[in-house]
Amino acid sequence: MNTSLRKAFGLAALVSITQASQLAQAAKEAQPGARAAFDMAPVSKAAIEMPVKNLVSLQSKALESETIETGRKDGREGVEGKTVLPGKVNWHKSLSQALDRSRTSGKPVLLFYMLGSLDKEFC
Amino acid sequence: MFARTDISQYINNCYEPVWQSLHEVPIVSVDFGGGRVLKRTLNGNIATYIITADGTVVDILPGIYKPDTYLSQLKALHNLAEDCRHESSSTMVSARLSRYHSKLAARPVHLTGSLEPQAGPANLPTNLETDTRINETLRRHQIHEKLAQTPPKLSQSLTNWLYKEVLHCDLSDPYLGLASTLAGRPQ
Repeated sequence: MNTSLRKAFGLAALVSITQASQLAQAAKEAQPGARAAFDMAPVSKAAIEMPVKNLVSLQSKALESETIETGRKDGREGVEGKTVLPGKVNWHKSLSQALDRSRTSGKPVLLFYMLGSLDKEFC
Repeated sequence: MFARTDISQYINNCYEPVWQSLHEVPIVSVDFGGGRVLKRTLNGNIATYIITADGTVVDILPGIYKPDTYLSQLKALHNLAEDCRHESSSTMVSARLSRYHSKLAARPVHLTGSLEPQAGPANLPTNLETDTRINETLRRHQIHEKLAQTPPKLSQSLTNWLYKEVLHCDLSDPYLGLASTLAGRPQ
């Protein structure tokens, strides 16, 4: 090994030691709260990653409707599916329209609240 | 359920029906690798409000029901709404509804049998049975207690209360209150 190469290795080693020392010092000086952000509580994997069977079948009470996708970029658009007829009920287009009709027909309003859309295939 | 002829015909004949979406439906995605991703919608919580023409809430059916039970409840609540319609004033309607809810809120709640849902597609009817029983006992009892005070007008605050306190689905939370359950530990 020639002299210049030996000097280069020596310089690199010095830089590494210096950086390691600086990092150690920075870690000591860091705020306790900042370090806590990286702390992981001692929980088991099972506590974080609920068994899929339980997640899908028990906890979430998933609908029978399902879809298997391959390589889609946007899941939601694909999962909600196409627009379908929301049953055989003659739904009004809005609550105000239903209330207006109720005043003339005398029938009470049936307001069906939901998450998702009644006229989407998978919702 | 709304595809059943007997239910849809009854609703069309006796109610002015309308549906509204409160939130996008949550979707579970399981990535099996290799580009294969199973996605399923979760069973979004639903609620059926029966309302008079002036927006007074007569009663609420919380969650999903067995079709036959749902239909029988719709018939019972239609009769109640008809009685309200023939009252002479809104004060009388409020008094009638208050008596109705107070009477039912005072009943003891009896819930017998296992509440544990059974896993597997073959047991879905069992889960629906369980949901119906919980809805008709515990959840409706909460609603009767709430509406016994003063039958309220339809409002966002009532719906927020219903979803958070009765259906355990917090509409004000972007994760609908599910984050701690899905993460497996408190938030």
